[in-house]
Amino acid sequence: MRRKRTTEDRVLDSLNYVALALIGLCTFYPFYYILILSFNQGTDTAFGGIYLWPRAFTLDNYTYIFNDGKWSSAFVVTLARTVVGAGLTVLFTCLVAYGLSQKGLLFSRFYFIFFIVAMNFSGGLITYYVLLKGLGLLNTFGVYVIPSMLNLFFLMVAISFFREIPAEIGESARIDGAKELQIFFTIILPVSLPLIATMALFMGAGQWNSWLDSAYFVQNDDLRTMSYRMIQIINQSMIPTDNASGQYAAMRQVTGFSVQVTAMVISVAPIVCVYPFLQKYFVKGIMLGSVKG
Amino acid sequence: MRRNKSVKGMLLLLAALTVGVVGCSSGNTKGNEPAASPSATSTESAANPSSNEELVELSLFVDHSWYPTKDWSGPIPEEITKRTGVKLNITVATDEKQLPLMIASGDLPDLVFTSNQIVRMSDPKLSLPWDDLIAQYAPDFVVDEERIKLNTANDGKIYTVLGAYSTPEEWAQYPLATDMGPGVMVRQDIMDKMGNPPLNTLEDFKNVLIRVKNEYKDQIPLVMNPAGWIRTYFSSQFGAANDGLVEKDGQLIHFLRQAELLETYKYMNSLYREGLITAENFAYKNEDQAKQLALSGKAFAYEWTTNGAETFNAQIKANGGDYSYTQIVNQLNDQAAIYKNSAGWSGTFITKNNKNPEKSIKLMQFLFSEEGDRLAKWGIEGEHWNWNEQGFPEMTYDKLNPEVQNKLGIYWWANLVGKAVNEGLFYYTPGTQTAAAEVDQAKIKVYNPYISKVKPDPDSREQVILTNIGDMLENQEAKVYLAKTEEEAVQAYNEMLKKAEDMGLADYEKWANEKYNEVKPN
Amino acid sequence: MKPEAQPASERPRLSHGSSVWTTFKKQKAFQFFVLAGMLFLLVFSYGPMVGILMAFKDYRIVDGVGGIFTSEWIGMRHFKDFVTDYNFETLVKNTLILSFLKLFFSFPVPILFAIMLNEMRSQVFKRIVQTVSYLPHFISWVVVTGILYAFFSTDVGIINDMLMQLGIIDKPLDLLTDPNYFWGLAVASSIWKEAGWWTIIFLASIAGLDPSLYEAAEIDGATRLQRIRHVTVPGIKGSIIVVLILSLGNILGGGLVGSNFEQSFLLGNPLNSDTSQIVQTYAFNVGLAQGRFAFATAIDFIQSVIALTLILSSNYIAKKVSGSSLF
Repeated sequence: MRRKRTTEDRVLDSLNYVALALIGLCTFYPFYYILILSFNQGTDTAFGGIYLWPRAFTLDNYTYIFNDGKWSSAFVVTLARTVVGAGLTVLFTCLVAYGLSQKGLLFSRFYFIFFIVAMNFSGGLITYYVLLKGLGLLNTFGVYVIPSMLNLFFLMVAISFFREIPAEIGESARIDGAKELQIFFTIILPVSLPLIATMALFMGAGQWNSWLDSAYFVQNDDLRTMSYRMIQIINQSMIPTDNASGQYAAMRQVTGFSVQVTAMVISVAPIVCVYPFLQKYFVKGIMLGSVKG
Repeated sequence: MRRNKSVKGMLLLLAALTVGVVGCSSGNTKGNEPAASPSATSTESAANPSSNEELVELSLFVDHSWYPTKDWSGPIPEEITKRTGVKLNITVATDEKQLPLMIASGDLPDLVFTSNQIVRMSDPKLSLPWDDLIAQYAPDFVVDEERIKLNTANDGKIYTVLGAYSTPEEWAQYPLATDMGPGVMVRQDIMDKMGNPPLNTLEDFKNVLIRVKNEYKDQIPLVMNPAGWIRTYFSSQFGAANDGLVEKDGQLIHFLRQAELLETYKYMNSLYREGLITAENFAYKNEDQAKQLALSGKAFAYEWTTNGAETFNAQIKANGGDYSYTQIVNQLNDQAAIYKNSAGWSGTFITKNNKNPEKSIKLMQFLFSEEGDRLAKWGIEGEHWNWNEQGFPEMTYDKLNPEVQNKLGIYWWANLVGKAVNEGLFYYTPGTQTAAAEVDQAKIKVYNPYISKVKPDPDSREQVILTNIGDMLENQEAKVYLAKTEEEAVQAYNEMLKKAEDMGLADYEKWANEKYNEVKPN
Repeated sequence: MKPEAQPASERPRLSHGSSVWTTFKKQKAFQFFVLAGMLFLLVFSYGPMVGILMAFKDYRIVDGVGGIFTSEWIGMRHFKDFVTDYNFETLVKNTLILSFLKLFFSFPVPILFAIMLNEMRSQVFKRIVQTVSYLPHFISWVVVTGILYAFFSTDVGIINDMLMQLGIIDKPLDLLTDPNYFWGLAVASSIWKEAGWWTIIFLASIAGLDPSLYEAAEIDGATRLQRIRHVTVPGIKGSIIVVLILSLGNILGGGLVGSNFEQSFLLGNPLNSDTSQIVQTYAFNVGLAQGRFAFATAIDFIQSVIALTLILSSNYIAKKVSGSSLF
């Protein structure tokens, strides 16, 4: 697709470069800041004045976090729940959204109200806990991936996305006698890669960082997640100083703040590594091949 | 076409993973019973030849998310297990919502150690009364009269004996057993440079701060630790109770009403008006921000605890600093007083789900005894500590270091049902500024633990009033401190009092006095 | 979004005039998909909803779950307690103002940003900027507050330092304690933190647009800006409206207008409480921290009702005004 670059193009492009560069810098700097803080001694950080590089370089924060055992099982569990949970949620939510996006679907008004009400009203933690108990999900891997299988927010987003897909797209397959479920998997999903990539990223990140279910709904130590372990460590580093040992603890080179900051870096790192692989789906023209082909 | 295949492949892989992982994990997950309750217990016959009894494993929930030791490991817990036949399987709370959730859903473990939910747990629906258990299993478990009175719940039974408390007799027995209180420290090097002006009264203190403000422009004269210590030292100097209820002329009043508190506010407001404290100090979210000023040499005086100077000096030295703090040991005012109204800190409850009440109550008995408490807090005599003739234990290990404490499993499990004197003795180190400050402070302490029994039901109207007043105070206090003139400060104080009245302060006090008449000893 | 123009081919299956049952049978696969979702919700959402009952009862947690049903019915007492609280008006005022300010200022940002990214010619540059832009989303508010202090504090903050040295101001700004600054601080920090993350959704929408529309517009002589205005923006109108409606529904809390609770909880302090205290921090302090679950549930319930009303009415308005809506 060759196009002549007009003056308008040049002006807009330069402006774009400058603006985006500024935005990039603004959003990057605070992250860079916590990155260097994670490599800086906590007590030294408390003096302030660190802006470009660590002043008192140390790996102490990292060794402090990883010193405790049980990280390998936590890592496996977290990885598993991220992949399985994101996968299940994307599939199930898209399936339901696909159904709901059909033009002329009977009772669609009713369905929508049903979903929207569920999205807004909650019975609270107590009844939810009892439900999980009754379903036998407590203390199992299932508690991480099953209750979140239908994401109501993305249900709505997916519906609007699917509505944009022209109806003809499945026609030839339908005429050949393919079932709707088949069409969903073989035709609709491949064409919705930007949606799937987005959902996978959001759901995946949510799974990766989720700690509340691991804290409240799981007792088995081998089933705990990484984020739970980090919250534990952070809690322990916050021993109140109304206690002499607390004050002594506060004397170590590692402070509550430096531990938190390091935990942040550890949580973000995998996501930063994964996302570039998903980025190629965010390219205009994904629909091009499928309809014409 | 190729694209479709790869998508299909990806989906198949996902499906396989789902089945695989879910299948695998459920298989490996221990305790994945349909009931799936957190009270995992098991009775194993002792492989330990030195014990004749069966080893019992009990689950314990610790309702303190910051608890530094989170498992039953180390030579001390092992010794306790050897002597009681009980091993504890510990879960530390992630936050303060976890226990109420467990209570509401009926999923309590064998033992619960909490301070936030003492009144709620003292309920026959949730816990087993100790009196019954003692009568049935451990008739030789004797608890002193005072503790019995202090720990009696609304229905007349005892559901726990709170740890971290000692009777006046116990304190008298061990004069070196002190505990931490509020304190203030000053930069010794600057004091020296100023020729060591006197620091005997509150006026002296203010004058020294003013001198620092004028002569040392880069110093903040006074920094206050914002994590609950802002008012504490000064209210102690004015003899005002810092929170809760206080007895005046035979009646209980809410601490807000005290004339001494108004004096405290006026003094602190004058510190602000003289430019000796900063407004931002009141906005710090955590103490690191205040500490940073001290450790980087910007704070002349720092309001915190009796062992603050010691703590800072160690750290300053470690950072290569060449200055140090001195704790102000003597009181700055004749009417100084500190009200100790607590009957303990946190207590252990034996829940209705408890699998082995006999072993549980016997464990409590052991940890309450002098032998058990000292073992749990200090270690094994001869190996970890030796008694010094002056009246305190000398530890053979670095007692304040949390890593050492963790490795030995020492000190923290004693809190389940231990005595405060033994804590005080643990911390005592002769010749330190801390010891001097705390011993001096012990003279001004006023004890009335029965006030702590005047606690409203968590869901009652009185509790709501109390909390609302507390929240209002937190938000409105700043206006008193930061008033532009003394008249304005007094006015702001009066407004707070009026707001409290509107919230039902008088009703709360009336209820409190009635309750106090029921529970106080005659 | 219901498309404005009908596609050329009608699907022969959904014919008008057939009986309901026939139509249903023809779409039964799709109905089944939807019903699967409904069943799931019935179990995981509607089942636990019975917990809302406790908002109307004198519930105590020691009574356990059964207590939800057996405790005394007190009707609207919890609601009355909330509404007659002495700072109810301040809470509501702050909550609403904060949410609307955020919606107004931060809603357009991800859309703009997505368009700008899309127009970027260098793929490498685009990738880098985009990846960097959503990093703040993963930094917890606790850490963000720490960063804000490091930058804006009057004692040690670098911004104040710089501004004073440049002579722009002669006294440090009380950014963190002055009530007048709180809303600005909250809106700005929330944009910084969340805009990049939400851009992803809009970027995905743009990626799904048919490129031939752009070609057609160009052939018709549209300039770049005109192409953006007439192809890109209408093309993602559906997503914009969906996100807008859902954000309105979340106006009191999360979503695009994000994280009111964390901000107020962490950036709020006694000095700026006049503008920083909101309904959620109140519910947390008074409701949950004390274990007053029933009271907290009542406050939650009020918010849910408001959210539902907002969603329904904004959907209706969107339909009337623009022809597209959520449902």
